[in-house]
Amino acid sequence: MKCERPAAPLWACRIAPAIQALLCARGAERDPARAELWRLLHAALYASLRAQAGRVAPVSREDLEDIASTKALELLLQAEGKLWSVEGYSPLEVAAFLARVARNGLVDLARRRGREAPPPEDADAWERAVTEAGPAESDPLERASTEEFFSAFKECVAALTPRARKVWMQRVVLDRPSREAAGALGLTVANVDVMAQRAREALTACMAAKGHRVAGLDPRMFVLLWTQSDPASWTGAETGTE
Amino acid sequence: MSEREHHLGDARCADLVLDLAGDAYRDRDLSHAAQCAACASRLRAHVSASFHARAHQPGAVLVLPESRTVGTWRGLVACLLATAAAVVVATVFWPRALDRAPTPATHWLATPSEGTLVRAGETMDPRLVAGFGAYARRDLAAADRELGAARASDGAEVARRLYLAHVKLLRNDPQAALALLRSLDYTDLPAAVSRDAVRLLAQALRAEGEVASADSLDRALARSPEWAPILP
Repeated sequence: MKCERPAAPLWACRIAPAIQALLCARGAERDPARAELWRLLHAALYASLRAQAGRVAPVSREDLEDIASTKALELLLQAEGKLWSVEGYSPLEVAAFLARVARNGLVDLARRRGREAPPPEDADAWERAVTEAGPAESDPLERASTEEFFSAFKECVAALTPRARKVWMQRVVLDRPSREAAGALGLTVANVDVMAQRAREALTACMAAKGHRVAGLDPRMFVLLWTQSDPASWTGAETGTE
Repeated sequence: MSEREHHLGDARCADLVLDLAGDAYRDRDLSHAAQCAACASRLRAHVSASFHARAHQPGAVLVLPESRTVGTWRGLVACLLATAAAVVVATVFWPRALDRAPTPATHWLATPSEGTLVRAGETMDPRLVAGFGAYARRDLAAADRELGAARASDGAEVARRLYLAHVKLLRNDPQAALALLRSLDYTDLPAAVSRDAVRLLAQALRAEGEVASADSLDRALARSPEWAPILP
């Protein structure tokens, strides 16, 4: 199956092999195969949902994630039951199919809520608005000060206990709901909220001591954090201290 | 590549999150995102959604226990055998068994730490505190008494029922344990005790003669990774 960028997203090329792997898996092999297809479908659907969200109806991030989960599960079950196959379809067709599934999910949600919004006249308006939102790319001077800031920030994050760091990553960096973070980390919701607030305060104090003011987490800082740390360390139930 | 193409669209963010992009594409995309707030925001949304995907991974849904009707005849036979065995055990050991000390191999639930089960500003019923304390000391009679009488709500109530169910099981009252365990919302349990709760449910079901259901839960536990929640 040909999958050259930018003709089709890479995930569209991986879905057929992932379905095949799941159908061929036996016994204990099924769980990882299922997990892999789930990961692919969820990410693909979320991308398709985000790309179309503004054209169908006003939705929140949580709405998009919930629709992605629902539709990914439907497709996963259909694939496992051999009711859905992408055999013989090109990656572009697979991507287009998932886009239709995503759009249907958005339309269903809008209907349920009874406030479907008309699509904008210019179909690319929403995408362009999202792309162009926020400040433009930074200049070299800003980049230098960002690197200095980031270096200090990393030190302060490293000074948090492992458990506080995970809570902070999930609640503040990724903006995951307290309940979900609590479930992932084996904590209560109240505990997560308290720990996230304390982590914020500790980081602010630490950064202040280094001569920096922290006013929220710039999304560009998130990219640096994400690329320079192991995302696996952002979650997990092991909550002891190092 | 034009400036418009350089920005990260949602499809490319998904490729990055799935780690499908080759090193060259990945480095170029990430160094762009590190300087472009809009692309960084979009990428962050995709990374965040991947955590949602992990939290809602169908390990929790797809390891559903098998239908109870599948093993009906086996269940009936097992139920008869279990009943017969229970009669023998009850005849020989009753009433000594009621408050027997737990075996050294008993797996105890992690005790909730003080203040973690109630909202800030709220206080926990002293009987609940006493009940958890008794459970931590392995004082089953006191734990049964205090947890049974305690008043709680929300997460504290869930914890009360779960720990009381374990105490009931250890005190050879699987019927009461099963009722408590069946009243739990398994989607709402903290990950630290979620699978333990399912293990207890399997024990209670087995003790009550619902062997097929217990087997099904045990198989689901054995087949799934330790982090995967199971919905009975």
